[in-house]
Amino acid sequence: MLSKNMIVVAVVAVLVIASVGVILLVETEDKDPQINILAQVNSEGSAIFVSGEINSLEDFGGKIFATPGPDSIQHMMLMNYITEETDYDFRAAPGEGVEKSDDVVYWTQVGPVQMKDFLEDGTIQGGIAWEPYNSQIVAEVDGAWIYKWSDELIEAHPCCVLAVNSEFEQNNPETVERFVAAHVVATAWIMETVQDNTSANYSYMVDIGSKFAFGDNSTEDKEVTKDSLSHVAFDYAITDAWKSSLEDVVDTYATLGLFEKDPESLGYDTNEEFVDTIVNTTYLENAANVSEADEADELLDVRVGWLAGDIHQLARLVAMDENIGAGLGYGDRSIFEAFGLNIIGGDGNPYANGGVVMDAFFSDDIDIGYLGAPPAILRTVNAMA
Amino acid sequence: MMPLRYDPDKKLHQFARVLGITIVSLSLLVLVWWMIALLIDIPYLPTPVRVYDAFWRLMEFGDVATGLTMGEHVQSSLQRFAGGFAIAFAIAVPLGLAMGYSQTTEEFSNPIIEVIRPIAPMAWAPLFILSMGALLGPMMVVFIGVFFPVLSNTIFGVKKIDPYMVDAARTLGANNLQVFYKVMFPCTVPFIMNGIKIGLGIGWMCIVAAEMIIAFGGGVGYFILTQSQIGNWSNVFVGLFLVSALGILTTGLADRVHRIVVRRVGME
Amino acid sequence: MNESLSIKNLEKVFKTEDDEVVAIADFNLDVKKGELVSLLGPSGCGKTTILRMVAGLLEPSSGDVVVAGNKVSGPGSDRGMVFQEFALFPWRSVRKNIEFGLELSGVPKAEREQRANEYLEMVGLERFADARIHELSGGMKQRVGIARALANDPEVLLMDEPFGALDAQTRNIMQKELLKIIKRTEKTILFVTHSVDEAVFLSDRIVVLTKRPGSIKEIIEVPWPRPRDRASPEVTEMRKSILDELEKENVMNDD
Repeated sequence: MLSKNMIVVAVVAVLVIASVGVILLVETEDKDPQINILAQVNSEGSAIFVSGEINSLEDFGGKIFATPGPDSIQHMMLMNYITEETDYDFRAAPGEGVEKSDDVVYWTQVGPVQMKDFLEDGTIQGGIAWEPYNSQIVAEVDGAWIYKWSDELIEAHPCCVLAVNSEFEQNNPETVERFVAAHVVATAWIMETVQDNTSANYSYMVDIGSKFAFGDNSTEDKEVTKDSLSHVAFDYAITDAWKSSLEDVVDTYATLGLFEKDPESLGYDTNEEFVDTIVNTTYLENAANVSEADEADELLDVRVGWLAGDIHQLARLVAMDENIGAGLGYGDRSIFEAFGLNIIGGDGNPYANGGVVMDAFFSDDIDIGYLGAPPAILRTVNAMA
Repeated sequence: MMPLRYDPDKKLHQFARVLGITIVSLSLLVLVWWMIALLIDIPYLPTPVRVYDAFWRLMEFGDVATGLTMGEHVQSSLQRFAGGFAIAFAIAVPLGLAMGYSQTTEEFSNPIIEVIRPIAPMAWAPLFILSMGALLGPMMVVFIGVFFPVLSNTIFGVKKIDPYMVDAARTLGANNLQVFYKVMFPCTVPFIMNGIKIGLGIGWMCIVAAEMIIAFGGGVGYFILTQSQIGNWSNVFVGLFLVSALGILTTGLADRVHRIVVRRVGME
Repeated sequence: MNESLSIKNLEKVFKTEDDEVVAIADFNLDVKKGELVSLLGPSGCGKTTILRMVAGLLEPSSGDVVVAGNKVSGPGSDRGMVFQEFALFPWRSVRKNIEFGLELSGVPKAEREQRANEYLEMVGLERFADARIHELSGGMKQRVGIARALANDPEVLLMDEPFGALDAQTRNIMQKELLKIIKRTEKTILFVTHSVDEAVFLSDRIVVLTKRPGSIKEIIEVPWPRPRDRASPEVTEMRKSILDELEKENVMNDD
């Protein structure tokens, strides 16, 4: 007769044996990166802004700076700048009433949309954000000025990239191919248009950019948008120089200790090797050969994620615009449609920051995303630990 | 040779038994966790080994992402928690005693309380945090969480007072005030303590959740959030264990206090 | 004057939703100093109601309670009470229970301790001075109850079926203990019971009450010295006659 105690003991024994068995026998496979990087979207376009009460680096001590979050490229740039180029410590801001040290620069997480308000009410004394928010803040907040643009912080720092879910890429190479081709066309259009700011195309670009960033296209907003655009470098190319700047990002994170296991502990000989693994240039190299899709053909669905109000990702906006597509001779189709793609916004789109875009990749809500290179790298590496 | 047998009457044996079973039970948990982590192999569920390593790394280097040490995080959380608890206790107990004692007070206070009670503590969090800041905000969220259980249990305790005890006190010459603090209060103490235990559990949950929406000041909830953002799930699990340990500590503390208070009240 | 307690024209009317219930109608009683008077009657006759009005725990609808020449209203330490359910304070030790009344009146610690020891010894609980209430048997608990009430030195001791919660043997023992205590303290006691045997064993006088509305049916003098032999013919005879009276009371008021 089975007593209650015996049943408990039996269940426990089974669980113990099963667990120990699994622990001893199952070998964890090395994980593949969740995403691959297909193309550049832009570089530059971030800046450290400060309020009127800060006149120079000496005034940074004891002040609070806003960043979009510890997983953002901006945070990394600020952290890197403060820890490498200054004598300050870099720490999260304490609550009110706690004495702040003049030897420390403090940070707090704020969405770029709210940074202006926080600066105005004195909660923060500076911050780092992506365009157009830096330009907007210095235009609209009394006394605020740009301390450094991102190209002064890190030369040619990589900003946004086009990334694809690795599994999706393996199963849908044709869709990916078309997407990259469309991206190249759109980015090339932008690169040409910014060169002539009197052209009708330029005005149109400022118009749609303004509406996307501010929800509005008032004259002030458009002026701000123009300022922003002058500080962003749009390009799609993946050069060796650019790849080496990605390696710098990996190095920075490794040095700052933000990886649970850095690439070398994961089995890569160098950070360079890791970057080589996640950057896939084949689609970019083949982009010129991809031809328009037939108007009669069915469009291929692709779920896309992007950041809210981020002017860096103008290329996507351009590629989705029907007027620009018409101007390029695609009939009444946008560039994406011309390449046979139907863009579906992922669940929860647009996302607050790069980390959230990565979350969407992990939960398989999106196939392709526009996000900052640093969060892409940080979250990918940490998921491989 | 005397064989070693379990004697349920000996305190030492009892203690050893409880300790032994606890160790076996928790070890089993770790083993099963380990097994599942290996089998389903997703970034969100690290193995116990990784969490263990992460813990020691955090102890040595602190929380690199925020620049705060784990000790500072814990301190922030405990400060907010203790503050919120103290305020809740200071208001709920006297109010509960008054409401239990006086029907008018109860009738007057009831509508106010029943209107506020259904609002979950976390629903207040954004309002409190934005208006009162990163220290008082979460503290007040804890306050809401602790207040209602302590209040309800105190009122219940007063109603459960044996009326004969009150009669006895009166026939021994006690005036109203003396009846209140020499009889009613001691009678309600076990109920108050029960309310406290419940309140502590809720309050602790509130503090972690509230800290996830603050922008300043560190804290264990804040730590868990930032580590989720950078995707270091091993650290997140360390955070979870920390929350658990602190919760157990505070409840254990409540138990101690319970025993001390009961003893002291009897000595009066 | 040698009246400890004087109850004059005591009346209690309970108002219900549609009716008025007269619980006690015109109750009068004088209790001499050192007397033990029992209130005896069928259930619902209001004997506890009378006791509580004397204690001041219940307000009479009309009438007065006079203790040692003073009219009283509300409870006070001059009328100590012992309860059927003991009503001890479980968070206090035996000693601390006994000291309770003395604490209330601000008696200094040393004197409190001394008085408590006196009464502990009187009820035979010296060895249990620091015990917790829940460790005691029923009989022991009631000893504490009696000691607690007596330590406060009330003018009158009111006892509300104090041995009702005890088993028959313990009850008999406690009755004998009570006699010993009375001998030592000579307290005036108003004793409520529904046990005829107990009333005859303990009382100087027995007040037999009618059914509701309660008033005095008869007052019986019990002349014999204590302790009395329960089996003796006089005691047995008195017990029988009272029981008969009570039975009649029940039968007569059966509606």
